Amino acid sequence: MIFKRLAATGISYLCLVGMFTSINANASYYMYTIDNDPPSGSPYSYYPTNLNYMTAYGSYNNDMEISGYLSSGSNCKARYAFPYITPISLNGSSLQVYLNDYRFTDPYASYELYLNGNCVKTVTIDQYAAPAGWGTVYTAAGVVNHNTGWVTAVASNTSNKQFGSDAIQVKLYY
Amino acid sequence: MKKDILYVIGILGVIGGTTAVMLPKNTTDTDISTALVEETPTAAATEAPTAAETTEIMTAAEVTEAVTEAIEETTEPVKEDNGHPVFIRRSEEPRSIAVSSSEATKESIYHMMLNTVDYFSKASGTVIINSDFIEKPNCVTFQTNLDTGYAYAYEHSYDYVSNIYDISCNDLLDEYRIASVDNFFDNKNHIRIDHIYKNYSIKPEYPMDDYRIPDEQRLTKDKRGINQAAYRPDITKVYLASRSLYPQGFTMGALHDFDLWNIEEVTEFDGCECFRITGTPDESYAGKTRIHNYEMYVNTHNGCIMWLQGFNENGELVFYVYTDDLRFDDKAEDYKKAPDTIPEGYTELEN
Repeated sequence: MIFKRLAATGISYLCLVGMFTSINANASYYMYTIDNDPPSGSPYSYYPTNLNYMTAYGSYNNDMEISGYLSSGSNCKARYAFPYITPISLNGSSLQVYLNDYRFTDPYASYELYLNGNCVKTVTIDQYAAPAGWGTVYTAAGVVNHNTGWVTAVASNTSNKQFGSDAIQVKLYY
Repeated sequence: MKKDILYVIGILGVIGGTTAVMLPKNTTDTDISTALVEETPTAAATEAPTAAETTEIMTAAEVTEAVTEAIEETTEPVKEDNGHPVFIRRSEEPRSIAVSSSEATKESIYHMMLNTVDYFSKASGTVIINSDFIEKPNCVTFQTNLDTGYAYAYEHSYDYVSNIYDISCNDLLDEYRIASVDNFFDNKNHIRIDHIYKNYSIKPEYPMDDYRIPDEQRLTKDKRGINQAAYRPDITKVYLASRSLYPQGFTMGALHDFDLWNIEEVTEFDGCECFRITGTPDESYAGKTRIHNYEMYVNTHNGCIMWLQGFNENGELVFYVYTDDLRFDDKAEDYKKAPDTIPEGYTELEN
């Protein structure tokens, strides 16, 4: 009986492995990352970041590039555009924001994910209260023939807050 | 002989299964420098069919029991085959009911605070939180209906209050007001009117898909020890009040380790039954927020934070959440509708 239980336990683990890899095999995605450690001399290097983290995995990732920055009065936002990709239908997406620096304290910075010119998700994060690391929000929105996209980061403008984060990452599942 | 075969199969199974469980279940985000990622089955997966053939040596009941036990032990997120969580419609989900305060545990309080929106449908009141400068509070006076998606949020900030340890609406003086913004949500548009800068914007409202996340998957670490915090979307639409109404970040950061906080008592606070909780966050959260220790009152019926003060290691107040006239469900006020016209002289902002 002991041997049977042992065999059963081992087989159950292997059954789980098969199940998980089946899930993973279907989880294909495009991933885009922008971090906030631009090259020296960049006009966008407004905020100090955790350089140790970023330098370990690439100091500046060009998966996304800044395509616009606006700061006037109570309207502060930055746009990060994806490069062109082959049109593809998507099953959903996730948007992650990396926060580490304690000076990122916007009470609700929002991150708007646009696909084909339409906003499919607005993510808001209380940067002050968020744990350090990645914060993730998912969306179920399906998009047909996706071929353009960008993330617009918008400051809450509360007490003149400006947008800031260590990195943003988007996954588009297909 | 038969026992020996079973023994060998069992050992190999355990080794294979354990190894596979220890393998990264997914490609870690920061590993990848290319934009296109397509995951492929691991080598361990190819072993599964071979092992599955041996299931005939057990009864069906034994296999079911063993698999069930193993599934219960895993922390794999509840996701669909496309790698996403299972999304829910609020109208199709039964509303959660809090356990009575006398039977509440740290686990039940943690769950409720992570999922406050499952425990109420309407809320109104004022939430006051600190900004970077402790004497300059950010405030929001609001009404929100989670079932209809209608909400109103009046955001107002001040550059001075006389007593940072005790702030109510009466302490917020017009002469010190530095921000004054109306936000109207009607499930179609978000109308934002800034009364300081005399401008406004009208933006379409975006989809607010919701989903549930098991508590043990809210704050995890990747293989490098980097935090991975999973949030549900803030369907209250009163984002400046999230530190009270939907305190996911604080709860994950300060309460995920049950050894680091205590339920001091059940008491009444501002007309609501509350847990009085004290705690000391771990080094990571303390480093991020500068909160060395804190005290708070948490509504026993929905997990919302009614009052919170956090102090740095020198005993200085660095973080606060105050509420004024916070009401829920039948006691909450109805939402304020948008005006028919924008005030004269206001300019429209580009979206």
